[in-house]
Amino acid sequence: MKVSEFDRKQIQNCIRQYAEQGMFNGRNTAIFGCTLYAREIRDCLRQYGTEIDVILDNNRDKAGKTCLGVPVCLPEEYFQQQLKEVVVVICSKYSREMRAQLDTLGDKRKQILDIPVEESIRKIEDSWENLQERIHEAEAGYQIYDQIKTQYPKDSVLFLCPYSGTGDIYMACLYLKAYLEKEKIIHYVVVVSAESCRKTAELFKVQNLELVNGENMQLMLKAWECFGSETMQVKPLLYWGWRTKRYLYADSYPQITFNEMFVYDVFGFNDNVEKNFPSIDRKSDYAEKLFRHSALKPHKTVIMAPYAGSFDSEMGMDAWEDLANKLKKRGWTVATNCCGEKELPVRGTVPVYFPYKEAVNVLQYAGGLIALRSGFCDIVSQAKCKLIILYESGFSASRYEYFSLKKMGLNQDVVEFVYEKRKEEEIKQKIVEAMG
Amino acid sequence: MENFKEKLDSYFEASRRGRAVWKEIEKKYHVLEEDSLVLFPDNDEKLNYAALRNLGGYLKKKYISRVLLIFSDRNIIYGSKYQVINIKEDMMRDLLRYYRLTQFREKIVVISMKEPFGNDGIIGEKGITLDDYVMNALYV
Repeated sequence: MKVSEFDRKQIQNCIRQYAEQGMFNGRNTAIFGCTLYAREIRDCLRQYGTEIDVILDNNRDKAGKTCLGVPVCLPEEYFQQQLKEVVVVICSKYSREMRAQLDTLGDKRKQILDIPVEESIRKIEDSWENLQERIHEAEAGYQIYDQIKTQYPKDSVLFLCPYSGTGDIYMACLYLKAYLEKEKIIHYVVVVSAESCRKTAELFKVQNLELVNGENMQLMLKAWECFGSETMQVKPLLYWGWRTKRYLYADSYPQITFNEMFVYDVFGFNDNVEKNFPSIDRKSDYAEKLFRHSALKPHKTVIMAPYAGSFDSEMGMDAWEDLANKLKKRGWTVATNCCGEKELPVRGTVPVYFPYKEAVNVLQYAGGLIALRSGFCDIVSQAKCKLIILYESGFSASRYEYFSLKKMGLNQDVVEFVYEKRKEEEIKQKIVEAMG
Repeated sequence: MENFKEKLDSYFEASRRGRAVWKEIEKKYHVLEEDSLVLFPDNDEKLNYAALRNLGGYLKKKYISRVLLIFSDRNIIYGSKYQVINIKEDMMRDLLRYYRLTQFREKIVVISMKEPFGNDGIIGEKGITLDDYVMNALYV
């Protein structure tokens, strides 16, 4: 998930206001939490000549590592050592307890800047009017559900995919066949809220597929949250995505991956459940035509995938360009998997775009992939080629321990690196050597 | 469809009653914004005792100074050092229906592994215990 435009403006306005008042002058600066907002805050502070010195985080697994190129430290440990005055920037729905924690550290050497964002300023309401609005929402959600349901057999179950991440859809569909057999479900509809998710689900040849917009998806979920499965034949295919759902925060449990959350939490299986991978059309000549058209070498092409929908990487395009140049010196042709105005090809590489259903074939025809961890990596996890995946420390959306393809049992030959800015040269060298 | 409409309307009525239950509790016990509510709707002894066992950890982790434990009369627990409120089972159902519709206050925890609040699929797998679930799924 990325920072919304509203939150971005909140951060910019707050930091500008306090920077102009000199809040950061002569003080260290810390951000509380390796959060979604940390990069935005750092970049904003830089505009006013301020660099962050440390990120404070209560997660012991993160302490001692780096995030955004700076050390991560437990708050208590930091304030035991820290002598200089410090500004602690908070930007989180947990801001109240973060402030309470900082207060207990009993140190006057800190100032706190608490930036309000959507998740922290959401108004909690127990008014009669609020209840009536929620009732209308639930009614609307039920109507949307009913409109879809009436198009299909009466016993159809609607599988709702609350989040528009392709990796989430891929994982859900991987176990759907086993779930249908377990629950003896004959008719069903998979409901998604993004075109990319529809294309991902299509790989698995699901029986029925509906695309709704994000708002309608949320309304249906709210309705189901209120009415339950006794009233609506709905099952969400994700372990989160509605307000009241609790799920294990697996930060402290390295034995739990993204895969396990689907196996255990979503579907109620044990480890013996069989994965149902999408079938590949081996007779397709799409890859051959693509390579001929793009003047790329079969089996000696590296495809780069430097974009991820769920997080912004610290690895800049310069680094990707340098990597591409190094690979070209070794006789590889290099292409960038990119689409649309916002995804530019790495300079000096050939832009390519191919549909998901051809992705495995294309990669096998190419020979190699270097990718930021994203849902695309799940989709191509079965490709028989050199797969090199980059994770980043500090951010939940790219955490190696949780999203490793190898740990998830999707690919045992994949080469995986945890990218850190300070080790960029070393990592680039290892990638080039791994590619051969 | 008419039956369904009646069913939906009954849920909405329940949520309206649930709001009344909440307002009564709020007034009677002078509940403040920073106080936490922990609801025990299920007759699940192991889960309930795991929740009580870990309650101190939750309060410490979240810097909460006051918590109100709400039980339905199936689960009456006496002798807790925390504020304990016992309400009738149907009032608990209505209160939950209200909560399922709207986040009527910030700090509210429902000790339940039933839909839509959670499930027990992960417990016992890969060494995950009930206490793990309580501390790192419910008390967050």
